[in-house]
Amino acid sequence: MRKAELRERVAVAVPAGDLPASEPEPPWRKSQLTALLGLLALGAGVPAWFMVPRAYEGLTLLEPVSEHAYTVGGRPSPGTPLQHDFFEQTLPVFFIALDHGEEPRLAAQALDTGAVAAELPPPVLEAVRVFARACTSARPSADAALAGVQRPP
Amino acid sequence: MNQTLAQAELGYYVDTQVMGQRGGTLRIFAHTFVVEHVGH
Repeated sequence: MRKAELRERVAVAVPAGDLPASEPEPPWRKSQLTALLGLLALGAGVPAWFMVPRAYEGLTLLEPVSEHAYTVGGRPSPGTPLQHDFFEQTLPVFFIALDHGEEPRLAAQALDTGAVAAELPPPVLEAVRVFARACTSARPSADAALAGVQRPP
Repeated sequence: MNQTLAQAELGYYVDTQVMGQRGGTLRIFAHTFVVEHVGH
């Protein structure tokens, strides 16, 4: 029997409807795919955990503000945001201006403006003004030991 | 200033140091600290 005849008889003997549509995929393929996807997600998640910026944890663990922290202990008030900006920005800028030899009176004037804008408590505002005045009106000391390090007037 | 800050119950501390250099210039080193806890 030739090959062509043999194929025809076999095709007739087995109707197409009796054949299964397609063989089911082996179950291990799905589990392998799931494991692979899981590993990929884990591999991407671990670096992402370290790369995503997060707030400093210590900032979220601050204790509540105590109204009398300096007498009974606890966390003193950080003040208003304006007061925080004064100590975070304005006061350091004043020190930097003095350190860089800029005109002390102008630096003190900017400091005073910032202190007024920050609405500091009156005693603190006065202390800032006294401190700024002391910085701007400093005079060379008469101490001979400091003669070598003081800037000439 | 630090005394008035404490009396006003504000949680800041200012540390300032003026240091003279051999060349005759003065350098100012200052830090402003946020006080997060007072006491034990």
